[in-house]
Amino acid sequence: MKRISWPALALPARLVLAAILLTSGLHKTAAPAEEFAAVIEAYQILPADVLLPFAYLVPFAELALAFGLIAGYLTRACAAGVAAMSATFFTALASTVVRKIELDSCGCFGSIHLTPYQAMALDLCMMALAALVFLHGRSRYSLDAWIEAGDPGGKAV
Amino acid sequence: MPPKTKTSRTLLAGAVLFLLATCLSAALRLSASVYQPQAPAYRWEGPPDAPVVIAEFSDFQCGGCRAAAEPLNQLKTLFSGKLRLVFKHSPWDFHQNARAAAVAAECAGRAGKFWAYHDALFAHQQDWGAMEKPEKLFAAYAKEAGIDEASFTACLRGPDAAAQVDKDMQEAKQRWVRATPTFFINGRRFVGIRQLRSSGFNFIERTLKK
Repeated sequence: MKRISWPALALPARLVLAAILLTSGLHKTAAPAEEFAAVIEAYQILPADVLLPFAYLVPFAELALAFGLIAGYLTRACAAGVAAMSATFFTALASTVVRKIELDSCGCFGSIHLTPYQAMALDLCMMALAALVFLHGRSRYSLDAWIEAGDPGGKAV
Repeated sequence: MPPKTKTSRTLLAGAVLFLLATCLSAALRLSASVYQPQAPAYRWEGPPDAPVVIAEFSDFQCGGCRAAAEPLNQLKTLFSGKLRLVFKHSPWDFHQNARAAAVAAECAGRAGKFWAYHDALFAHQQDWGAMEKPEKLFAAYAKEAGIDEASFTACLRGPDAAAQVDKDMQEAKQRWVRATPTFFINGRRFVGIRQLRSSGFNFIERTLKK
């Protein structure tokens, strides 16, 4: 039986992660930030003062991470960022389930509504994909490869 | 000349990607136009030349919309003569009688009693909200407001008031109104009472100081 080639799966995993983040980031950015702030408010976790800045920051972070993953730039760092973000969202959603807070929308994809359990399942999938990219994400089809091919006298970041 | 060292390549690639994400984000954010509300005259309250215009997207069956009356009254007192309020219908499908209530309010508006009827609907929200057929109560509120029963009933049966409500609902959809109450104060959006209280009041003060 043929063994699974994890490094071969890492490139599609990277692109799938990027596509999810891009969809999510674009939907949130195209909608007014106040709408997303109102969704976050329903989680009853963050203080009112930080809701709006957070509503601006999250979609931008999603877009930045999506671009990073598409281009394969600092791939492991981007994968770690996605895993951390997904773990945070998962915890926030789980806390609403435990506290019996009924969310009208998880806020994951703007106007596309997922139930908390669907969103938590998606977060788990994203964490698994991010782990795969973190461990095996190095690819020649990436900016990382171009950077690595640079002058060895220079310092790697 | 392309960069040769790892550090310069890392910085260049990072800067390009950051710029791309920033430009895309900014383009999407800036593409939203400033909202200029339109509505029949009977749904406006306050002087026409008021420097602050508040458009409220509301649903007569939503609890938060009923509770919004208090901060809105506070605003009217605090900034008397400087505010103009316009009511926009945004009844949700999951509120079974919300659309019918909006149509009834439109009919009351055509009889020159929009705001009295608006207050009555919110005051008795729990009475008509859960009813299977709230029409009798709607007619009773109209009678209390001094509206002619025959013309009110004819309006309810006609297509015009319903079409006006549908127009507002379409507008709400286009403006990305996804929760009620949503307020647009001089085009700037505040979702829910908490945002209205925490940021809306300050925004009005700052606008009036300019």
